[in-house]
Amino acid sequence: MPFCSRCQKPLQGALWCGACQHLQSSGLQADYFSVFGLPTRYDLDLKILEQSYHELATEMHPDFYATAPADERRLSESLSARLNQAWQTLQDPTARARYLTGIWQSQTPTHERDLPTGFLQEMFALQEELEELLEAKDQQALAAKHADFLQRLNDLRHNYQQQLIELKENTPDTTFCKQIQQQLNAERYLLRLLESCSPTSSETDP
Amino acid sequence: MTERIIGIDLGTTNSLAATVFDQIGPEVIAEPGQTPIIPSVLTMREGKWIVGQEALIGSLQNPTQTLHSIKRLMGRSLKEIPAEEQAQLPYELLAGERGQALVCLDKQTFTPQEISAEILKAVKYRAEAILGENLQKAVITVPAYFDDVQRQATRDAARLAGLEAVRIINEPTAAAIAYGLDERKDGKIAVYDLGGGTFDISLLQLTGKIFKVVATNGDTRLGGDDFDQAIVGELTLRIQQEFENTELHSPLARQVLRQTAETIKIGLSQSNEIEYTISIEDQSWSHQGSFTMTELQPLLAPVIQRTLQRCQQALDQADWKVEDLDEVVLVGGSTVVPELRLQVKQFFGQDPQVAIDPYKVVALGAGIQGHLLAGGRRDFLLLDVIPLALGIETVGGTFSKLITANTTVPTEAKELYTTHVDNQTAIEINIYQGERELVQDCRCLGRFKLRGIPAMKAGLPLVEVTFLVDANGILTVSALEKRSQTDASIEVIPFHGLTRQEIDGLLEASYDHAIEDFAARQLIEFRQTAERVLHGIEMHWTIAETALAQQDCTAIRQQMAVVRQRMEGQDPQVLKSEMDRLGDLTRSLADTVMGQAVLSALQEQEATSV
Repeated sequence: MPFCSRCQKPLQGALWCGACQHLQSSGLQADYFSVFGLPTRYDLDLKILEQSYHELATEMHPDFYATAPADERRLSESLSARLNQAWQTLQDPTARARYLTGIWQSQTPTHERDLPTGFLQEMFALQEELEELLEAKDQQALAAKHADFLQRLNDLRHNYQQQLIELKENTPDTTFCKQIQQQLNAERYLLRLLESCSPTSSETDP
Repeated sequence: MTERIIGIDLGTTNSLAATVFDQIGPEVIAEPGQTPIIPSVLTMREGKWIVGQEALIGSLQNPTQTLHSIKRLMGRSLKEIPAEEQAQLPYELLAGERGQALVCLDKQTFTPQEISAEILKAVKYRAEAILGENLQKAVITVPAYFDDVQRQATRDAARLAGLEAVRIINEPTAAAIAYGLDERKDGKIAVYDLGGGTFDISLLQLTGKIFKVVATNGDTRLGGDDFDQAIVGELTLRIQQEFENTELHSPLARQVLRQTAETIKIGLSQSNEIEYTISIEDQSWSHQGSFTMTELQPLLAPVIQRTLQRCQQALDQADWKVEDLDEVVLVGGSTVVPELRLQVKQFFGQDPQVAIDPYKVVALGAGIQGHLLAGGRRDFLLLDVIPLALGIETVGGTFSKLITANTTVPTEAKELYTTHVDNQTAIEINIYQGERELVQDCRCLGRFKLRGIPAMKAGLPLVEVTFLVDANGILTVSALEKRSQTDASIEVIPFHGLTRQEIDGLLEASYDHAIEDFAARQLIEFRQTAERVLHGIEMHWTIAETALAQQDCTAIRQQMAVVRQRMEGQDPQVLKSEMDRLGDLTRSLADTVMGQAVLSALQEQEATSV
């Protein structure tokens, strides 16, 4: 467990010492889980995460350092940026999974672009079907396709999330990392397909 | 609490300031019984800037020499301002060295930053006179949809006005603070903000102490001015139907039409029909007509529809439904239009909140935020977002987003770069902001030159560039070569804004030409007031001699001489205390005997020295 650089007491989160209200410059290198003092595992309680995000934000935000010395103010800015990034990543199930595989990457490199066997062929076929429907402007069939993609996406998500939850805090082996990575890549693909047949996909910006 | 930080709403049409007073709480800064508003209108007379009401009154006599809607030009290049928008402005525009829009006035050119600085100075000086304090720090509001360049431009304008913009906050967010702190209820709020020249919609989630902006959307070229223009279009048609081949494009004609349109718009906020007469000084015709609510509605509808589309986009971005909203708040002078309120109510399915004056609410929120920054309170925290994605150019001119829109700020992104030829020591990065797929459709914020990369074989250096967006939504870039752990130095070349050197140059010039010192300004003010008071007493001296005892008259005479002597001196405080003494001596005289002139002169003195 890390300790406060000033009062030496153990830290709850890596960015800020609750005991002596000191900003921790070492927190700039902290991973997103230790920002909140959480173990590195997929499963987490979103309510508690949000609460702890709000608590940390109200202590570290640069608005409360407006009259502090310039270097302290800058530190509060960088640490708040780190905190916001950590919150934004961990609160989103997909971003959290991607972040976890990123951490594993540094230890067990996997093929970043790998897809599940047969997935690409399946997607190509689906994409072709979709293009025909788009050309024919068949709204009913498009809606059905949309529902189908959504179902696939949800199944995929459910599957890898379950695997990640079961992993708990253990270090995964290469096969596991590869499986998760493949599913995350497949998810990206599906999301792009979904976007192209979404009923509100028209370009809105002038 | 430390030094006071006031809040300033620097608007397209109006500007004003607010602060938190002991005991009273947040309030706009105004003379008792007077309006807090300073119209954002300027002109130049004998080489001196005239700002506010006086410039507005003179605008008909001198349309080409009267500047308004300057905020629309902030941080923009001339190319970016459509011809029709340029045609609406009676004054002349030019392109600067890097294409930035410049304003011509009195045979000189000015940047929008310099002109906005004059408005800020007027706000600052008046606030100083009323508060009796030297002010150096402010929270300044900008439309939520302002990009990095426009925010920088606002901050630079503040610097030129001798103010540190401690924080730039978004107008709708400021309004939410003023409302939210009033009620203290958890829930989801939409703030609909239609000002003179800009439209913003912000969606906020209030949870305990936290005011979190979830999504923001808007259009920096959509506002009440567009209502006026629509009415001007209709008036032009009517006049040309009655008098064929009428020339209505002269600056004077445009100004007359614009003001008539505004009068009609405001008039129809209170009644269903309004009569008007239009005549232009150098033309022989005169046109009379009337405008009804029914005729106004179709003119306003397209503008209102555009704002509601933006509202829907924001809801989609937040993944909220209209029914999720606990409250809808209306902000900005243009939201007083009844037709608008009706449409907004229909869209959101609830009555919008207007409990706080829509003209004042933004300044009030900024004043409260200033109070927090100065250490006066810490019972709420504002978490705002970046309105538009930030990124860099990648292969084929595609825009690669590093930070997406609606990300909570402060935030940062890191990117690794390397070199392409051996011993290359510098890298150039172009940074863009926008929501489109190609960089050509986004705004280039500037070119960042990284220098001081250690000489190595091509591809070996690992330069980690950090893009940090601060709580103001303003970007700073830093770079580190990871192999050698050396900081690369960064030179920023802004594409629309001012360079550091230009700002410093302008600052020096302003120190040379203007009296920046608070004491010096106070001295001038007190001297003018003393002059008026002395003159008032002299004018009514015969009455005084008959009504007052000899010794009282002598005392007044002596004190008048003391004041005259102090007027020659350099210490405003000494002059003020002698004036106060004169005021005491003449008070009973003013109250009971003397005419209104002395009384009003004395009252003025009191008002300026509160």
